[in-house]
Amino acid sequence: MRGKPKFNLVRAFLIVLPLAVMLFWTLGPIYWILVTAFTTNDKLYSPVLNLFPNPITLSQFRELFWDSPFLRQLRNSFYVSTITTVVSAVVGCMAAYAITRLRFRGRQLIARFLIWSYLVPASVLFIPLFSVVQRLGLVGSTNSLLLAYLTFTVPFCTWLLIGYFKTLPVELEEAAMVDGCSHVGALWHITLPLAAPALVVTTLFSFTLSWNEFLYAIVLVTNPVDQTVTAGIATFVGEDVYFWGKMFAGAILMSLPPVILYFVSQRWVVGGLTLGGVKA
Amino acid sequence: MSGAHERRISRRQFVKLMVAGGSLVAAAPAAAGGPKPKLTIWTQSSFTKQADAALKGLYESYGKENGVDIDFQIMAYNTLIEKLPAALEAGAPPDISFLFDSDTAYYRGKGALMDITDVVEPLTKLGGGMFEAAIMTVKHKGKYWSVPTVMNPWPIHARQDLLDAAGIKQFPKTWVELGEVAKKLQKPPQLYGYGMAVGRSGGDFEDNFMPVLWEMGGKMENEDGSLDFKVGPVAKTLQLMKKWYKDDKIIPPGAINWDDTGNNKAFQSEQAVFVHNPASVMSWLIQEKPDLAKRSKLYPSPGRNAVDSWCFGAFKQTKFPKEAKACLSYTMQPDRYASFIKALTGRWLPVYKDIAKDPLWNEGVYAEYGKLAATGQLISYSGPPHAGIGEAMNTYVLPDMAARVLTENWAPEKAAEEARKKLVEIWAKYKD
Repeated sequence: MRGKPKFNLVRAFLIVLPLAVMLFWTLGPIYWILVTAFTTNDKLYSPVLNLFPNPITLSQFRELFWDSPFLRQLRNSFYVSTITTVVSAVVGCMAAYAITRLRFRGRQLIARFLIWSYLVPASVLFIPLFSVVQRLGLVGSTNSLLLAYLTFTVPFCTWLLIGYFKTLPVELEEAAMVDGCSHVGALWHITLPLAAPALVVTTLFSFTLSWNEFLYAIVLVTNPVDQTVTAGIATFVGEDVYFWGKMFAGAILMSLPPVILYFVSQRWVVGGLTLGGVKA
Repeated sequence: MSGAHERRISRRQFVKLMVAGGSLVAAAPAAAGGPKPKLTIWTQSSFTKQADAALKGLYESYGKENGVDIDFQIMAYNTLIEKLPAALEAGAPPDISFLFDSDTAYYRGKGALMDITDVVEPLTKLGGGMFEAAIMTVKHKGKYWSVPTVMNPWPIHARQDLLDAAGIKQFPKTWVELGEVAKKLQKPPQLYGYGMAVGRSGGDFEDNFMPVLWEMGGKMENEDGSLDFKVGPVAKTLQLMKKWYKDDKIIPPGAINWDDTGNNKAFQSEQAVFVHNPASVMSWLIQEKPDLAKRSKLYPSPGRNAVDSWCFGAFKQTKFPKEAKACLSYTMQPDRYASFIKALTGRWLPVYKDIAKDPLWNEGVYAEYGKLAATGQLISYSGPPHAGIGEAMNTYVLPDMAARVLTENWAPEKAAEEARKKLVEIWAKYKD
C-alpha cells in the first residue's frame, strides 16, 4: 500500500508560482473591467487607485440600458452571429464533405484557396468588401455583416471539418451506399453523427468569431440601432473622452453569451482542440 | 472500392455562373435606388447628446422642407477617421461628411471634394462674418472646399488651486516659463507638471508642438503654403521637449504612448498641473467632476494660441450635388446654426463672429476661451493648410520625430532633418 505523498516545497513552489502569475495575468484585466463597470465616473478618474468600487453603482448599466440602444445591438449581435453560424456550418459541412469524399478537378486548389482566403487579414479585405456591399445596396444594413462574416466563417468551418472528415473511415459511408444511401444520405446518416464533436466546435468558434468581430462591424454599419454590440461599445466616446464605465458595463454583458456557450460545451471544445490532428 | 466519384463542371458553365453572379451585383444598386433624392451625412459624436440631436434635427428639417431623404449618421471620432478613407477608396463616400483640422486640404488635394464656393462665399458675409482661421481652413486659391462649422481652440487647462497655493498670480507668458512653473508645482509620480501629448495621439501632438515651435521662431508653412519647417527652430523645440521629458521630468513617462485621450485622462485624474487640449476636458469636468472644474481654469496658451476649424464638406461622387449644396447652405444660416452651436454649451466656438459674442463664450468658465477664435492661428501658420499637412498628420511625421529624440536618443538636429526630408517628399506629391 502506497503512503501519503510527501509535500515537496520546491515542487509546489515551481508549480504554484507560475500558475498564480498566469492566473493574475488572465483574471487581472477581467477584475479591472468589473471594478470599472461598478464605479462612478468621478471615482474612475480619481488620483488614487481604487481596487474596489466605492460606492458600488449600477449607474453605468442604467445608462447603458436606458440611454443607449445597447439591447437592440445585443439583439443584432445574436441575429448576425446565429445566422452566420448556421449558414457557415451547413455550407462548411457540404464543402468539406465534397472536398474529402468526391473527386473533381481543382479539388485541392479549392481547399488551398479556402485556407488562403481565411488567412487574408480583415484589414486588407475590408475596402474591397465595402465596395461589394455598397454595390449590393447593403451598406448600413445589419445584413451586410452576414455577408462579410461568411467570408471568413465558411472557410474556417470548411477547413476545420476537412481535417476531421479525413479522420473518419470512408468504409462506413461506402457500406451505407451499398445499402442504397446517396451521398447526401451518407453525409446525413453516417458522417454528421460521427462528426458531432467537430460540428459543435466549429459552430462555437464560428459564433465567437462573428460575435467578437469589430472592424467590419464599424465600417459597414453606422446607424447605432443597426450596429452590433462590438461597434456599439466603441461609440461610448465623446470626442477625445472615453466613457469607460459604460464601455466596460457593455463589455461584461456582451461577454456573457460566449462564456455560457463555452461553459455548456467545454467538453467538446477540449476534444475539438485536436481536430484534424490525426491523418487518415 | 474508393467511393470517389467524378463531379466536373465545364469551363463554360463556370463562366456562365460568374457572369450571372456579376450581373446580380451590378444590378443591385439600380434595383435599390429610388426617384427621391437622398443625402447621407456622416459626423462625429459631439460631447453632448443635445448638440448631436440639434444638428441631426437641423439636417432633417432641411430634408422635410425640401423633399430629400436624410440619412444622418453619428459615429465616434475614431470610427469616422477609419471609415471615411475606406469609403472613398471603395468609391462610396457619404454625400456630406464632417472634416477635421486639415482634412479639407487633404481631401481637396486628393480631388475628392466638391467646389462649393457658391455656397460658402455668401455664408462668410453673414453673422458678422466668419473668423479668419475658419476661412483659411477651407479656402484655396479663391475657391471654397468645405463649410466651416465650429472653431476648436486649444487653451491650457490649468490647476488654478495649485497656482493659487503656490502664490503664482501671473500665468506664464512663454513656454519656457510654463515649464519652470510646472516643475515647481509637480509632485511626481502622483502629479506631473505638464501632460504634453508627445506620442502618436491623433492630432494632439501637432497642436501641442506647434505653439512651442512658434515661440522658437519656427513655423510649418510660408504664407503661400510652401513648406517652411526650418531645422534650427525645430531642433530648439525638440531640445526643450527633451529637457521637459528627461531632465525636468515634467511630462509623464507614459505620455509617449498616449493616444488622443491620454492628456485628457491625466488632467481628469488630477495627475497633471497643465494640459494643452481643446475644451473637451473642461466640458467633461463640468459634467462629471464639477469639484475639479471649479479648481481648474482655461488660459490662452503662452505666445500665440493654436486653433482648428472643423467643417462639413460635400464629395464629388455625390449623386445629388445640388441638394448637398442646398443642405449645407440651409444648415449654416446663422439663426438655424445658433441653435446647434449653443446646444454644445460652450465646448466649441461658433464660426460666426456675432454669435461668438453670446455670454456663453464671454462669461464664466469659457470667458478666456471665447477670445481664442479671433486670436488663434492654424498649425499650418503662416500659410493656409497645404494638402500635404493632412498626409503628414496621418503618417505621424512629427510625433515620430519627437520619439527619435525622447526614446531613441537621437540628436534633435538629426531628428528634425529627417522629419524635414519626409515633409519635403510629402509636399512634392501635391501640386497645391
